[in-house]
Amino acid sequence: MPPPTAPEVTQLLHQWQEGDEAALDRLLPLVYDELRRQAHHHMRQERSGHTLNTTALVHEAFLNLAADVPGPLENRAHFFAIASRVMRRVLIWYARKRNAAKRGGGRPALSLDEAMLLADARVDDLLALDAALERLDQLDPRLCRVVECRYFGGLGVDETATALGISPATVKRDWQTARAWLRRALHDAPTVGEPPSAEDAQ
Amino acid sequence: MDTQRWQQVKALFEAAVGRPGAERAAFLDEACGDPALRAEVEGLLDAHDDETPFLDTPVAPTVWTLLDQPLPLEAGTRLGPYRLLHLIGEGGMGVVYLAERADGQFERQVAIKLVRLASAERGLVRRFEAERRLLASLDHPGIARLLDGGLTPSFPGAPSGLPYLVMEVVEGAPLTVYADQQQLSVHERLVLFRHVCDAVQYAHQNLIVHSDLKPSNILVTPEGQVKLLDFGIAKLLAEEAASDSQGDGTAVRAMTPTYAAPEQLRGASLTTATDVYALGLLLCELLTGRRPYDVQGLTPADVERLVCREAAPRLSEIVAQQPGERPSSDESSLSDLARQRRTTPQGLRRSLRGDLDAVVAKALQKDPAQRYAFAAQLDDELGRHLLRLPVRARPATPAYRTAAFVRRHAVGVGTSVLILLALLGGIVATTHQARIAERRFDSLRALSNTLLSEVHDGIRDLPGATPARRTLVASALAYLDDLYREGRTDPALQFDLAEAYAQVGEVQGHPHYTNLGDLEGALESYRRAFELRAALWRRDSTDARVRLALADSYGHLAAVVEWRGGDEDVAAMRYRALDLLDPLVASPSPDLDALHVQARIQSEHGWELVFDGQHDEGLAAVDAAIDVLEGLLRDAPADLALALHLWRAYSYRADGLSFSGQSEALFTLMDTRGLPLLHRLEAVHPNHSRVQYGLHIAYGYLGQAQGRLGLRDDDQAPASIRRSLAYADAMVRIDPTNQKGEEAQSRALSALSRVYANRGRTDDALAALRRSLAIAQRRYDADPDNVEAANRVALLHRSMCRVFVRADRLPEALPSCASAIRLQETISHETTSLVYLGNLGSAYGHTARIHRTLAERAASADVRATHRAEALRWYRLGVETLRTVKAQHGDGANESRAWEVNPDSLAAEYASFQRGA
Repeated sequence: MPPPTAPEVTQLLHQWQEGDEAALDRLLPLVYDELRRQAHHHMRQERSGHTLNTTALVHEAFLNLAADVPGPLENRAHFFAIASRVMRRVLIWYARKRNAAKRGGGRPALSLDEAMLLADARVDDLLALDAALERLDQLDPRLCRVVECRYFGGLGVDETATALGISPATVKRDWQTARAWLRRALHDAPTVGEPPSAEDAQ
Repeated sequence: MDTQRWQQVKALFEAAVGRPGAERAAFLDEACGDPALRAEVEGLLDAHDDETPFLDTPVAPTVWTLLDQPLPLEAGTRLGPYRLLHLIGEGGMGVVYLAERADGQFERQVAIKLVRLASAERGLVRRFEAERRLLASLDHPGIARLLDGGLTPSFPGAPSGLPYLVMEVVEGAPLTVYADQQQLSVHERLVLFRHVCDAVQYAHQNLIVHSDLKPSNILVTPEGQVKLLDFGIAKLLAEEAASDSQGDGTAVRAMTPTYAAPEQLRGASLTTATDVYALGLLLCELLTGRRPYDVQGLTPADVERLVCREAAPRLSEIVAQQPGERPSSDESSLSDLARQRRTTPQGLRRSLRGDLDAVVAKALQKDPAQRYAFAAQLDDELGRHLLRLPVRARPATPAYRTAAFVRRHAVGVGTSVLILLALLGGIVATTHQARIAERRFDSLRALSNTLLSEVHDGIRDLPGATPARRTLVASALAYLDDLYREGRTDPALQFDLAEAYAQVGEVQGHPHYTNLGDLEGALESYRRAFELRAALWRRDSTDARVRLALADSYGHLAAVVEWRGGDEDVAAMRYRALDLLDPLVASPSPDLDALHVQARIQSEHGWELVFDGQHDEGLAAVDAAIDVLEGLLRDAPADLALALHLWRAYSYRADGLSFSGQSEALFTLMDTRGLPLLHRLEAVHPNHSRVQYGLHIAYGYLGQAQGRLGLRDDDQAPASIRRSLAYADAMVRIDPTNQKGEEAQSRALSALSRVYANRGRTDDALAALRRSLAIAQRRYDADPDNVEAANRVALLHRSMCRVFVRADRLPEALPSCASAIRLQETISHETTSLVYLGNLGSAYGHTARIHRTLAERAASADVRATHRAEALRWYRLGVETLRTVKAQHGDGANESRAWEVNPDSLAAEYASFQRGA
């Protein structure tokens, strides 16, 4: 299978939008790597005083992946949804790794930076949240998407609305419902969602 | 909960959530008939009313930070058999870790490069694997080995895992830094750079392009060995990225713009000429300390315009710039640059102007088709420049050719290939004319004096000249044979004819020179020369020229016969030669040519004595020859032939020292005399096949001595022997038709197998031996009458046998022993040399010992009886054979080592074994 070309990236976005999950599987690695690049670039800038703007980063990533391809604006929006999903996967991957290391009782598996970002308690919460989201995805995929965009992707209400092709009012309503559902589902783990550390709070 | 029910719950929750408390209860009373449904909705409402923080702060910043973590893998992670130790670098292509074998199989540390593919899909990973196998096949001392590779565990964004490469760890300084630290002269920089070209060319021959050559990818180890890193990886990534989603601009990202060729900036396809361009930039930086284009701080568009459109300044212009003209103050000033090259600014400019200007300009052509196509062509040009031959990059005007000719003769280096071709054409024409017209002496003189001596000597040791030499020999022989058959008796003609035959014989197969491997042809030509000279000598025994020529003939005949094997009495021929030379060298003003010939023959005679068991007498003869040759070389330091004869005498002494186990003296000889001499020659004659051959032998002996003197885990011996192998490999690479190259490889591989075996690395030892055996067998098959070739195969079988015995894999040792014995029996029937008979006796003895041990260990009586019978048979043969050797040897036989197995102790073993029966 050859790697997708720029027009194919937009085609894949369309396919995914139309419910083709296989298209998403092809997109994720591309998006992941592009996000990594953006993150790397961003962190260099941050040291010289820039602040993090997740929307800008994802937008830049999209331009790099699908630039110069004439197409409807909604591609860009869809891309934000995918980026958010990738970001969820990244976080959960690190959390699982951390968890595995903890269980294994061996040496710290993460570098110091990572360990600071993912305190042990938070790791369990994140994994529980992810499991709950999986169930929510079965029940009501759109709610799951909204959580991905807002919580993992860091998108605002309007951006989430554009990304998912729904109205801002629907985003607000879905977010409210999803939060209530998740809080209930995670009844035994009420601290989910605490900011990871003071520095990370925007 | 099913979806339908959830939609119901959700609708009720959304309708209720906005209502104040009392109103909400009323709403639920009315809307939910089903108490279970109501409980669901109320549960959600309670959760919604909980005011403790939940999902309020997006986790995105954390994710961005995690995304920026350089390490998808951390210390302690295992990849295949390796355990990561720590990160040693991160670049555009990925991250590099230091790692070690987790299974403790090898002590050695490795570098693991985790390659960051933009898209690690299955298909791409497969293609990457195919490329990796290709890269792993690159086996060159100048290229860091790709040892292994694989896939990491799955990873977000890389469901199939990311490919990683396991590479040799190279400690060294970047090429340019090394050159400056060592304060290498322009000449030394060129010699060093040619090693880079050589490594790149090796890859080009394997159709692999580096495409990211830059100083940080070219390291020089403290031993001075050039090592290229990251071969082919940049291209792999560039292609992958180019076929990826982003069109142009992406390919550029994978490589370093500072060293990018125009076609790389344009995203066009990469070829070997792309590497040539990078080599041109490197050479410029190495020689002038500056790059032709300063792209620091330029936009990509400006870089592209500069590199793709504007011609690079010439080297001599770069160093002509006054320090003040350069804006940046950290730029080394011109006089510093010159000092780092051990010259003055004027001297530096002078050495760069002309040839090197032209060569670098050709390498830096915008159009790849206008450059040198391969690294070898650039290498060849630099070689020509060092030899003061005209470079091809410069327009071939008569004035330039003449200038080159004059420069060449000013330092007395060989003859231009161009001139050879012109002369060869002339001679072929002359031959035709000669057949139809009256033959004249002049044409014969032209043949023997000009074509054979001057032209042939000029090209003899140039790499790859073998086909030209074959043509030369065939035309010359056809011509000489015609003349010989005519049977003319004029002394002057006969003298010249003999000289011409001797020259042809040397080219055909004199074992001490670069030859075409035709021993029979050589013997025939030398015999013709000898007969003609002997006839002249009978006619007039007062002519000193004839005397010297006749002695020379005896010496050459002895050397060829000794090499080929046969009934002629080699020692008698040499005594005759030395007798003839005595009056010439005994005079108060001895003939220097005669001294040279005498020393050569004396050293060869000494060598023969050493191997016939007269060790001390032999070494004394070699030492006397060394004294003479060293004296002659002091007066004529530029005489290459003389220097090589001196090296040959050193090597004879080394043979004797090695044979008698005098490792300390052997080490000193190589370290203080042999290697310095050869490295001096190498600096002036890089790629000279005999110098390389000498270095191969010298490092082999150095390694042998280090191995015997040093500690078992000391790495000095393997390092020296690998250098020896590297020189052998280089010989084969430079000229695959040169017979000596393969022979050298075979020898170095055997030595390598010995040091591996000594370090308990049985499988490495066996692998080296098998490669060596394949080469030796091929040579023997091609020439079944060649005793040396047969002996070599036999000795290699013996070595295999020894390695098996050492590893206590006795049953596997027996077939190797049997193969060795079969061959050694054949050899012993055909020669009278005691050495071969001693080898055979030892082989019998070893076989007997293996069977004895197997008998002692046998579990069943049957097996025990079989091995006992075998052991008895081989003991008897061994004892008888070695006693014969000892009887013929006379006094002092036990001191010399004509056998590995002492006849007396073998006899004692035999007796005790018989008693035990």
